[in-house]
Amino acid sequence: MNLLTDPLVPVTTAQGQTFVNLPALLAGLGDDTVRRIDGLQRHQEDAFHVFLCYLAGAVLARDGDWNPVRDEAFWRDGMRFLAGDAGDDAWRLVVDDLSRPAFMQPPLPKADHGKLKLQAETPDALDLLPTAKNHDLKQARAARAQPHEWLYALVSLQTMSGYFGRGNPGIARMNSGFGNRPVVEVARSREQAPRWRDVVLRLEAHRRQVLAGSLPFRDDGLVLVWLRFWDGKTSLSLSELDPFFLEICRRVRLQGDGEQITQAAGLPSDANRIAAKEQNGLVGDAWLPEDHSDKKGAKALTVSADGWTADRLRRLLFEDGIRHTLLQKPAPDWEGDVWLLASVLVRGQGTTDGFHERHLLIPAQVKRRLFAPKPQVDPLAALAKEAVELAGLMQNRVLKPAVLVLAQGAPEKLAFDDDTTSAWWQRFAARFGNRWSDEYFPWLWSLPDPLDRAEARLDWARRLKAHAETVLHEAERILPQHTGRLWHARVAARRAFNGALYKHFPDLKEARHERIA
Amino acid sequence: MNASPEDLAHIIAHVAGTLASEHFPTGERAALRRMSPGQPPPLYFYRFALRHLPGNWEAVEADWVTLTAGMALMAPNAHRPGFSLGTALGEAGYSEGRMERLLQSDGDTRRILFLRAVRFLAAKAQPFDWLDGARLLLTRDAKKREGVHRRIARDFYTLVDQQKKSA
Repeated sequence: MNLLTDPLVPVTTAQGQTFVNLPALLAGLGDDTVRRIDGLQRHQEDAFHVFLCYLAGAVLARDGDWNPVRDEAFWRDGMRFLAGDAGDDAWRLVVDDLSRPAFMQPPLPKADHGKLKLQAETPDALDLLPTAKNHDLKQARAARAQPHEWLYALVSLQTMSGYFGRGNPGIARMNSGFGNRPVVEVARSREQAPRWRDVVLRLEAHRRQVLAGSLPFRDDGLVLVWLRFWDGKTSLSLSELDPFFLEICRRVRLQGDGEQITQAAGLPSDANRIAAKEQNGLVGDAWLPEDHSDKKGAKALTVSADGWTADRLRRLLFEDGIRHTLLQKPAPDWEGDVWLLASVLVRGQGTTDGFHERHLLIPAQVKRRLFAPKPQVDPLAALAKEAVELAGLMQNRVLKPAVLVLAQGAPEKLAFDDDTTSAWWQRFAARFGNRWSDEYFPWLWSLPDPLDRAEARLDWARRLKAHAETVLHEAERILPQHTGRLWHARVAARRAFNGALYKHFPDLKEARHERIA
Repeated sequence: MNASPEDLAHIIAHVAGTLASEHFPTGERAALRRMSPGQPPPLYFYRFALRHLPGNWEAVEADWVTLTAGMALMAPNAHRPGFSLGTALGEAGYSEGRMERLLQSDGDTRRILFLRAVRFLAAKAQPFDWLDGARLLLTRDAKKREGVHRRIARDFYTLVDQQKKSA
């Protein structure tokens, strides 16, 4: 099961489905003969994409020519060069001699050989998803798994994991072990092959930037982190590594019976494989946005359980407290529409808080406005921020009191801390959030250039009002209400809504008067 | 009821005016007053309906029986255009519980509760705009019906809540 020579990766080409080895996969992505890499689960796709891009980038950096369209032999030679003395073992999924590396599996000191314990009998049990009792995904369902399933699980585990209890440290490209690893990229295409080629081409400039920066990476540093012995106590310093280092974070070894992989065994590790704690995840990753919003200092962006909210995407797009990497901007010579692709697996306490992804289309004319020099972007950025603030105002100051009045049956004094009605409110707040978020970017993109800020603001306020009214109407239908106070509650809720609306959005009142006149 | 709002307002004004007229036979008015939802109406009603009600009254006969009985009950002081049913009930001190039951009722129950409200207003000599009453009984479209309820409830509770505040 040698990734360099055995056709282990299922792909779809113009001729149909087939299996290819890893160098042939890179060649196929380069010349566009590979349409799709098959068998990846959605949460594994971006991990594998990042792996393939860094791998190609590391090989091309050593070649000196960044043309990503190369043949299979070129990639195989390049990957063998990265492996050095480890030879093809570095690319084998199963190597029985534990003193030798295997793909993404470090060699272990002799003293540890007898301590390996069964970790997973199926690839999905090895993968990074700490699922809660079969709720998110059926656990350990892939009995008699094929090699590529182990490959994907291994890449996913070793390149995306965070801290998962004692003995299970996380990766360096994440803000502390409790963060997550967002993958954010502006792309011309969502297809795997053209997306990969575009990234590889842009990685050249990114690499130059990282090497010229303050991080102590080496141009000829270690790429395949799994080549080094790991006793679980020592860490590698950034000064030993290539900027495109292919990371591992756990001591695991796949085991097989000669024909197929039967299980994964593991050993606890007390230390992180990469010593970069003080970097807060900022180790030059091309996909990881830098979060500068905290006064305590910059760190890698961590996405909370609410995922890619409109406001988080806005911050990303307009660099509000965020600093882009080169992959998060379109290349200067790109014409036409682009996509902002963002994904992240949010980790909870021993669970996942969901895989979140958002693909946002940025039309060509908007792209020109959005990625222009700062003074040109500022008016749109300011309005985008104000629009989010207005949505918050509409939600919390207008809709919330009205829904609480309704839920509490028109009380003389509203109880903002009542648990039951607050839980109901959360449902309606989410509905309102979803409604305006769906409209937010299309609306922003539709604004004329130059902006009439007052007109745009009023237009947005009207839209928010319509969404809030719809949600209030839904609340009237859905909320359990005391039948003896049904209409009283509805009337009081509308009164609260209208009162707060015209207090916080006086423009709407004036606009209404104009219409009546 | 296919009549447009203007038509309906015109018809209501005409019916209320007819019933309030001093020339209207007292016996007939008394017979119309005694009509009750669910009971067969007297012959007088049919004669009255043929002369004064819109062409399609038979399709919603029970509602026109209720409206006619109600206006006869309050005659000669039944109709006050522009003064809404919700406000009239609020001013007269109608209870919140009865208002909720009225707005949540349907069919004959609604007709009976409406007539009780009318008797309550008659006892307090509180006329109102009978167009609201007609809409309350005749509107079948769910969305429009909700709008009718909302207006009546808004007028009623605005007054009731103000009274509570100033009390």
